[in-house]
Amino acid sequence: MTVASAIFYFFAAILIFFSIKVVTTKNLFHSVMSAFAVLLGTAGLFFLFNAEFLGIVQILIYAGAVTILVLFVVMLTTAGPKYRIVWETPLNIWIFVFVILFGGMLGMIVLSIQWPVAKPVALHGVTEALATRLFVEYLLPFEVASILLLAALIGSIVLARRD
Amino acid sequence: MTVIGVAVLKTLIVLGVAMVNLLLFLYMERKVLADMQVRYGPMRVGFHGTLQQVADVLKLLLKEDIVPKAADRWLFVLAPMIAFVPSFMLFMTIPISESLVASNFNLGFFYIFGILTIVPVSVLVAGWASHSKYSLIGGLRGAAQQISYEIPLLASILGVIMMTGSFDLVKIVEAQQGFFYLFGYPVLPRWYIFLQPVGFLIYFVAALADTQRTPFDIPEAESELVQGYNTEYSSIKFAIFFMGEYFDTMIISALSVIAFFGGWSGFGPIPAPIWFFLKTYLVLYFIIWLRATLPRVRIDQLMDFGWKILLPLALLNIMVTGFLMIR
Repeated sequence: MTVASAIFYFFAAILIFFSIKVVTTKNLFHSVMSAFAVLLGTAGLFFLFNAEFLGIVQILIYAGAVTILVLFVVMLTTAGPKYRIVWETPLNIWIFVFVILFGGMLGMIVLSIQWPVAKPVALHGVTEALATRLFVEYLLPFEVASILLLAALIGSIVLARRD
Repeated sequence: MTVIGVAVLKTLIVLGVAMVNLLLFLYMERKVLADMQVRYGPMRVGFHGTLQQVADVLKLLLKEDIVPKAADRWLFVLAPMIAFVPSFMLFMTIPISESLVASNFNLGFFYIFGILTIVPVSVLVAGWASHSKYSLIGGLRGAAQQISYEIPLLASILGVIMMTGSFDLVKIVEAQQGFFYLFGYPVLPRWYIFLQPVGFLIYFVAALADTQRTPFDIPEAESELVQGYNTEYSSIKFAIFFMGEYFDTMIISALSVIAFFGGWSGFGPIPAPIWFFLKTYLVLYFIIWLRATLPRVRIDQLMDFGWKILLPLALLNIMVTGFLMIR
């Protein structure tokens, strides 16, 4: 096993463990922190695959900004660190049946397909290629998307204002 | 396996350099503060108190490690680590001279700002996990302050990055070699502080706020919030928080030297790393000076200033830089 694949499995283990933790933990705050770990692990994978720009954006936006926003929401809405998520709906046997069936189906598809493996390419200037795509080739869609986002931003501020 | 060996070795070397500089900075802060308040500062341990920091660190390590009963145990232990690791990771990319850098890659500044956004998470987590009202208020304040000031911090440095055309820290310094000439005589070194004065001012204020130094130490505010988010922390956990914070201050100073004061460039026979450290410690001296001089601002003043003055000014700076570059 090479160093790179060892690091890959390390990050993969973190991702799987904390992804499960996000949905199974009873503590809302722990759930958010597990999501934080998942986002950092994803950034680690990006770094491993030489996509530094994507990795840093992942940290900057998801692990940094989004996690903090969610933490703020949790802190300002729930009742203290002892708050627990309670599952009130009785568990239905059909849920398990469907999950197992669907999971089995997915597993069979994944295993049966011969996945194409990309040839390793020289990864210099990934960021430049990305910038060229965004700001030269697809400039108009990019600007439209940013105007849409701005509209959504202003809309949410208008909705949230009390007066 | 040699890859990992080299990585570990580099990490250890950087950790050593960072720790030695931390001790130096702590000693300098105490002595300079004392000097400005007309006292001696630490005098007893070692020659003129030089070993005081070592004694303090040992004291912190030997103290009882208390976890409050109501605290969220896991998160309480995790928070100092989230504070320390990113701060230390930043040291890996700081170039001390052209070749003395642990890990340089072409997105240096972007990486630094990316990693800096993790730090507020630790402040929030510490405030929450302590289950104490002072910690919670301190944590909320700290996170709000750091998020608000990270945006002008990033925007202020963009002027420099636009003029260099690269995020690479080494390239930014190399772009600042040489002099400005007046009538054929070199009058000023070609540093970005003279080309980007507004950018530098915004950067410096935002950096002070981001690292919670006086006059922006609102999240800690000893006199109102009893240390804010780290009220409940003691012993080694407090020491780790403390180190993370001081690391941040040192990083911010080193970055200002790289981005605005020509990094390791200098003159005469003095080697480049010495120049770099000299400039960094001058910036640190200025920060300590501010601490000894200025009172703390209020939280609403801070937020107003960040969003309504600093951010528009930073954006304007980017725009003007863009116009000047097109010509």
